[in-house]
Amino acid sequence: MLFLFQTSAISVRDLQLIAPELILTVVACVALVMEVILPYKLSKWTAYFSLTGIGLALISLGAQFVNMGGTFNLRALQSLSAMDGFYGMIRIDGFALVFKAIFLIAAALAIAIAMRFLDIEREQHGEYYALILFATVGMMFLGSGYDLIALYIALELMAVTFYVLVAFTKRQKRSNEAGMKYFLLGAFSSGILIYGMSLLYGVTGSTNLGDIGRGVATITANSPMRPMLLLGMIALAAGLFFKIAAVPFHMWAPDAYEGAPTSVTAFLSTGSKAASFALYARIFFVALAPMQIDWAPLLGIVAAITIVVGNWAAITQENSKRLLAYSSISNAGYLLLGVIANNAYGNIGLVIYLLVYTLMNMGAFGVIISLRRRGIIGDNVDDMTGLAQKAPGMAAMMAVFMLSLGGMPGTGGFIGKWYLLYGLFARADADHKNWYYWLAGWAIINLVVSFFYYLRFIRVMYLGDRVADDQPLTMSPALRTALVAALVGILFVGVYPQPFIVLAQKLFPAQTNSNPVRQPSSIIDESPK
Amino acid sequence: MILSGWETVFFWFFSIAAILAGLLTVMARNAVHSALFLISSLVSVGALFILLGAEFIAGVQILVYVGGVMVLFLFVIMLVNVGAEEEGRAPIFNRPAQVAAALIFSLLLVVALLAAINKGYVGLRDRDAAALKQTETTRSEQESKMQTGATGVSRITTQTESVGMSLFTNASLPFEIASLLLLVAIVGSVMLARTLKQEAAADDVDSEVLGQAPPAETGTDNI
Repeated sequence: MLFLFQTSAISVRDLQLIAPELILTVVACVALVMEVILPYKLSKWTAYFSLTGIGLALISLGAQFVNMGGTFNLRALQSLSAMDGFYGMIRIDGFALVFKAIFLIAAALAIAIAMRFLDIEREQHGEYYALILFATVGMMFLGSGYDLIALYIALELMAVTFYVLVAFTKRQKRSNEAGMKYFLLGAFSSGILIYGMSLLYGVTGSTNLGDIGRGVATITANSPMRPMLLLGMIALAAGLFFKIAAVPFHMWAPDAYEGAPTSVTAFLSTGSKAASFALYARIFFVALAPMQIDWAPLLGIVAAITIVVGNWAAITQENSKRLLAYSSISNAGYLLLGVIANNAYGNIGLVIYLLVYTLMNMGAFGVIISLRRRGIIGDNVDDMTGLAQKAPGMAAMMAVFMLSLGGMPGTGGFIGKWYLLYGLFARADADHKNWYYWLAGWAIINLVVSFFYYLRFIRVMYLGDRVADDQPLTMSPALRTALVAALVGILFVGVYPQPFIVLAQKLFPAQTNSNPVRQPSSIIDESPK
Repeated sequence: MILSGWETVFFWFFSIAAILAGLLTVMARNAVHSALFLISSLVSVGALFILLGAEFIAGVQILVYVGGVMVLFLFVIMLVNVGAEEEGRAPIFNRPAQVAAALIFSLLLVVALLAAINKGYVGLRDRDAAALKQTETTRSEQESKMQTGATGVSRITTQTESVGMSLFTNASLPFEIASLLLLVAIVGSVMLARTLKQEAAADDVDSEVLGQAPPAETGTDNI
């Protein structure tokens, strides 16, 4: 009984820290009820309601930003001070804010491009929107989590939601198959991940990332705990390789991406990937920061293989969703370069490229959705033949998305890839190691290869000798808005990247290896009350 | 932790039982047998928790896993028609090469884990010797102060209380996220399991509106 007077379990301040997540959770629960109450014809209201919820969450995220001392006047912007909450379970800092904003944008686009699409699939259910929101809540906790337990549960919340979403069009065999495959491999990878987490906990005796970082720093190369630590690091990395679809753990991606409803594929390839990279950055930059010299080569080898396998496999694909799946695999390799670099430039590249990648992939999948009609799936590359004559606007947008994915100067993709590679060069200068240069060179060579298959879309659209069919495209105001928003975002980042660079620099500064000492808090409180 | 006398017997009996039952779970052809073996494996692990002095977790292990989850498992297995696999016609393993590769990798993993944990355990024991001793003395001190149970032999631990405390303080946030996870699992499973008719009734529309989705052409090549 005494503890009632001792501690106020959760304070209002803690709740303020998770205000965006709370808003989204409430909206998602209400959306579930709306689905039951509203007649079928009004199902779309649920979608608009969910979009409103995402807007509110964004506003509260902005309020947090201002509360923490940020201003929207970028010249005056200082580095934000981090705030811990829920007994060190979460940490709200610039990193968390940036990633949460990316997740919210991805969720909004995933809802916008899905509204008409679900009608065509005859699967217009409010659960879709609620599940998207729940997945977003999981991602946002991945962005702000600062404890292995919170991070793992958040990861599972996101993953379980995606298992359901991938199988959402359940009367289609390939959607079922994709859901099952994704579920089995996802469960397997979660098992590997938690293996790594348990070893890390065993060595350092804490689940808090900061405490782990301090514990890891004390373990020298000759320490008997070292093999355990290495195994834990490898298991963690392998589990996360699954989540970001890096070779050799990429086999699920093409099948899951192809079978899933296209709007889910778009969300899976952007939101889920960004969240996994947030987890990567948190664990490897904070908890395993003292082991940089050990994990950088491992990640480097995997990145090199991922880039080449993703690119070469994409070349032979006929199905555009499969092609984009392989493209997303190779992009995971490029994003890994930012994790390897682990410096200010790499961080800028990571944030900007994830944002731009979200926009361009959402856009590309949005165009594929517009080709979907009753009876025509429209996800073969050939279905775009002659699109430039039928719908010049769409073709132009698709061309921009593809050029940006390839990294054409003037688009956002170029800025992102530039900083990812520049970060790697800066790391090579700092560490005086040659293999960083080799890795960067390898990545650049493969950049050229990737243009080959991105340009295939453009060739088919503009130089096709016929028009695939003359039926009008499936457009809806929401889809059109989403596509235009993605296009504007990509071009804006590409032409005037300065505000984004400043924002990324201030919010996601390079982690220093010194972890500030915090009051220890063990999970099981041994002392009697 | 140093085992004494009967504790050693207890440990070896239940750990071997857990491993054997776990193996049989995977190897049994009949799904019901698999589930039963899994139950005995979980009970054995529960017994090991008692040896570790984690009575609360042992109780939860038996109540939740054996009592709840596994009984539901058995219900599902018996309700769902498990066809060809049960009769032993379908091959369990796909290709010898895959099986060999899986075996090699799992062997490597097991060897590495055993070696690393064996070595690391000694290191951890040396490093934390002082802290361990401290914990042991405080724990025995606390135990001597605990009330004895009705039998007059065992003492009533306050473990449950401390688990509850940490669940509502340190672990309050993951605890709440887990509730969201369960909600999503329920919504998802209901949604995926609904038939077309139920769906149409729930949405209050003619089932024509939902209808069969257009047949999917599978023009894919596998890489």
